[in-house]
Order: sequence, then structure tokens, then C-alpha cells
Amino acid sequence: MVGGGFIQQILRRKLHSQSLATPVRSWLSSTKANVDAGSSGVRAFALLGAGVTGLLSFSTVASADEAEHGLACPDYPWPHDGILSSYDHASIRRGHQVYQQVCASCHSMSLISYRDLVGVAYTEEEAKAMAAEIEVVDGPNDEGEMFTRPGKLSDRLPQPYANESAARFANGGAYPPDLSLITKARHNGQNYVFALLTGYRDPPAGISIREGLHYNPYFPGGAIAMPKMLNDEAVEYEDGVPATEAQMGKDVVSFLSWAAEPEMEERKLMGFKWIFLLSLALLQAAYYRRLKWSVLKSRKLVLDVVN
Amino acid sequence: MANQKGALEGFYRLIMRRNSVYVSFIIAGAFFGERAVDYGVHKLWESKNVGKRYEDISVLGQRPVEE
Repeated sequence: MVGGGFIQQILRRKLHSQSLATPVRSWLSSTKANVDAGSSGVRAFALLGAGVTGLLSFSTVASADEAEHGLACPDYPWPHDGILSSYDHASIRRGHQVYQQVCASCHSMSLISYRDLVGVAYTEEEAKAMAAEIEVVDGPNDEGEMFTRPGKLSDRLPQPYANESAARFANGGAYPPDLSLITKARHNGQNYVFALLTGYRDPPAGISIREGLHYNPYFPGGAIAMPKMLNDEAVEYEDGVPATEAQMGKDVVSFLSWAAEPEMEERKLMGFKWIFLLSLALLQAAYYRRLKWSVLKSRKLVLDVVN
Repeated sequence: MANQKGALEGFYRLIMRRNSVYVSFIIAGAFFGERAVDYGVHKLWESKNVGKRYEDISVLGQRPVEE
């Protein structure tokens, strides 16, 4: 209430100054030359009014349309939300397990290598053993022939299809996207992917989905080619955590978030440290500036007119 | 701000009389100060993220390695 009246005052003052063009310039320049502390407060109010006016002019933002963007997904409390929150690495490990057993038959993650998992979800030996389970085509040997060998840490995660055409052919024309960056490639990616994976339901009355597609309100258009993949007990976790649909969804999204942003923990640490240090530097700089300027700010002018 | 006997006055007398001492203080202070900040932020990080680290994974190393 009080804030509304306050903002109205600011706007009136700002609008009033806007309607008088030339007087404003002289007003502004006079306040600049004026050493009086009170008018600088008026200037601050004017700038605040300008900011509020600008902000209010953006109020006609186009609101998200469900038909175009899909059902708006809720914000889930991810364990890695927050300035100083790390990933839940046990969740990343379980999520990789879900990916490997449920998703990898259709979705590639061709930007992740086995070595990326070391120190994040698996030990070096475990990652080496996992890599060795796959066959990789390697460059020409001394005889000029390509050969296959067991995978190494430096190899990428295997792709289920040779190319996009093969993927589309095997999935009724739809291409299962690569998941390496999916949480960054979709708006509100983490919440969207979780809502999508757990959001399969019967279509409402009157909506029919053609054969081969499935109803999912979070998918733009409502009809997605992927069937519901997360079902209770689909995976048996190594650490004994019960593999409910929501648990698997949470773990796989943690894994995908890590895959898209492996640098997040380092970034948060660096950000916290440097914002803290630069705030101290700002205080020092402000003090130093005022110290040096104090000479000028406290001078007195004497008009010595000879007449 | 600080009178003759203030703490800042003592700081000035000790560090800022000679520029060589001042600069050395800044460089050494930056080095050890950064180490201290890194240690402090790391401790804060660890206290906020109990049980979520890679080292805290309960089944680490239990995957069958012999193939």
C-alpha cells in the first residue's frame, strides 16, 4: 500500500520531468554543479523512477501458452540447487545406471567419455571395466584396415544407432535426441525432463493420440514418440535404494545435469570466492576514492570580485 | 576516523611508512589471504554438502572389475 503510493509519487515526478524537455537538462546540469547534498537525493529518486518506469513498460510480456510450450512444469527441490550446493554424486552414479539400462538403447550421449565418470561416479578401475565391455572401431592398422577393440577410458559412450537416419528408421520417424546437453538444451531443463519422464498419463476426454505416439502434457504438442520408460523396479540399484519411478527420474536427471554441466561445482566455488573477495575490494576502492576526493569535496570557493 | 592512538594509526605506522614494506605486505597478504579464503570456503562447502561427495558413495569400488 505504502509502496504503491511511493512508486506513484516517483512516477509523477519522473513523468513530470519527461514532459518538460529543456528544463530537465538545465535541472540535471544544475544538480550536477550543485554541491548541496539534498539535490543528489532528488537525483537518486529520479533515477529510481526511471528504472521503475522502464520495468513497468515490460509488464506486457507474452505469457507462456500451454499449446505452444507444453504444460508448465513445477520447480523441484534438486539437491544441487543453491549457491554452495554440490551434486549428489551417489545420485549421479545411480542415474548413470538408469541411463545405461533404460535409455541407452535409443539415446546416445556422444559427448561424454568414460574418463569423465572417474572421480565423479566411479573409480578408475570400475570405469575401465565398464569401457572394456563395449567394442570400438579404431583407426587403420599397419595393414590399412579398420579393426575393433575393447573400449578404453578415452572412448566416448557408445551410440545406439550409426546415424540419425538409422535412429529415425528404428523409431517410427522420430529422432531420440542426444542427451549430453539436454538439461541445457531445453527451457528449465532439469524440471522439464523430470516432469516429462514422470508425466505420462491417459489423455483427457476428447483428445486422441495416433498410433505410435503417446500422450504427455509436458511435451509441446502433447504427443511424444517415446513411450513411458520409467516404471517401478525397472532397475535394481547397487546401493539398495528402492527404484521407484520418481527415484529413477530424480537420479537420471541428476546424471544428465552433471553431464551437461560437469563444471558446476568448480564454478560455484569460484563464484562464491571471487564475489566475496571483490566485495571486499569494492569497499576498499570506495574508501580510497572518497579519501582522495575528500580534498576537492571539502574545498571552499571564495569570490574575490574587484569592482 | 582514527585518532593518534587508534588501531588504524598503529597499522599505518607499521606498514605504510615505507612503500617497499607496503607493497611486500600487499603481496604476502594476497598470497596467504587467498589460501585462507580457499580454506574457509572449502570448509563451508563441505559442511553444506555432507554425504553428497564422490568419496561418500557407499558402493564405490564394488562393481565387478574382473571380467
